[in-house]
Amino acid sequence: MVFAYTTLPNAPPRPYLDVVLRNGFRTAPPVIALVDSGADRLVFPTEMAIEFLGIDLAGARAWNFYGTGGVLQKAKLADVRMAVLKQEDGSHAFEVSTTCAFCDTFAFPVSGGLLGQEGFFSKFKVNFLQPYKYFEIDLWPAALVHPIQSR
Amino acid sequence: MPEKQRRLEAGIDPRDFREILTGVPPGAWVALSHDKTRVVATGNSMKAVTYQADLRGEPDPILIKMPLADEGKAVGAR
Repeated sequence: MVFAYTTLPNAPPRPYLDVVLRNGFRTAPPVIALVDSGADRLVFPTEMAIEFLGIDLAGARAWNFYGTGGVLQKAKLADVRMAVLKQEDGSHAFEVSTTCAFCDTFAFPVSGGLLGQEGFFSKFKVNFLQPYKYFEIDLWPAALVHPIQSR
Repeated sequence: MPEKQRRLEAGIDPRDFREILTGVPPGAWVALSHDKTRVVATGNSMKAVTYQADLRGEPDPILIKMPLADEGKAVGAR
């Protein structure tokens, strides 16, 4: 499926996606998040987990990372469902189960969330056509998502 | 070019939010109307802008965080 790059003030065109996170019957508002191959995971604000998804992060697995400023950030991991929305009408294009890192200290300087390697690129085949300012994503075949188990 | 042709056939136009986000402070959370044509609320948290949007008759906003001013991006979270 094809998605256009998005231009925001103070920034060049970038590959953003409209995504919705779910936890059971609880759904967060759609957020425009950056497709970021340099990020190791999905990263979203802790506020989203607590205020909208009702996730108790107290006992969640910790994950530390370095943000754009080189400062160590502490996040908590939680399993969620993530829907990718079509840009033109907001309907669902894809929905996957994934693991998200929630962090309350990272400033998210370029978007409301990051769609990184584990959890996004591990689920989706992404093809950037940067000169044309658009990109394509598609679900990896299940055999590639779990290559070891499928052997 | 095949890619461009495919793009045109798909009917995808670049999204440009610069005009509707004019005047929104860098780093602010923004609630856009569900059709993404206007700003409904701005604030410093997701909850705040969602609440304001609901009060203003937009129960299904889409949220975006304004990039910081004149900031490029070299690396992401790792």
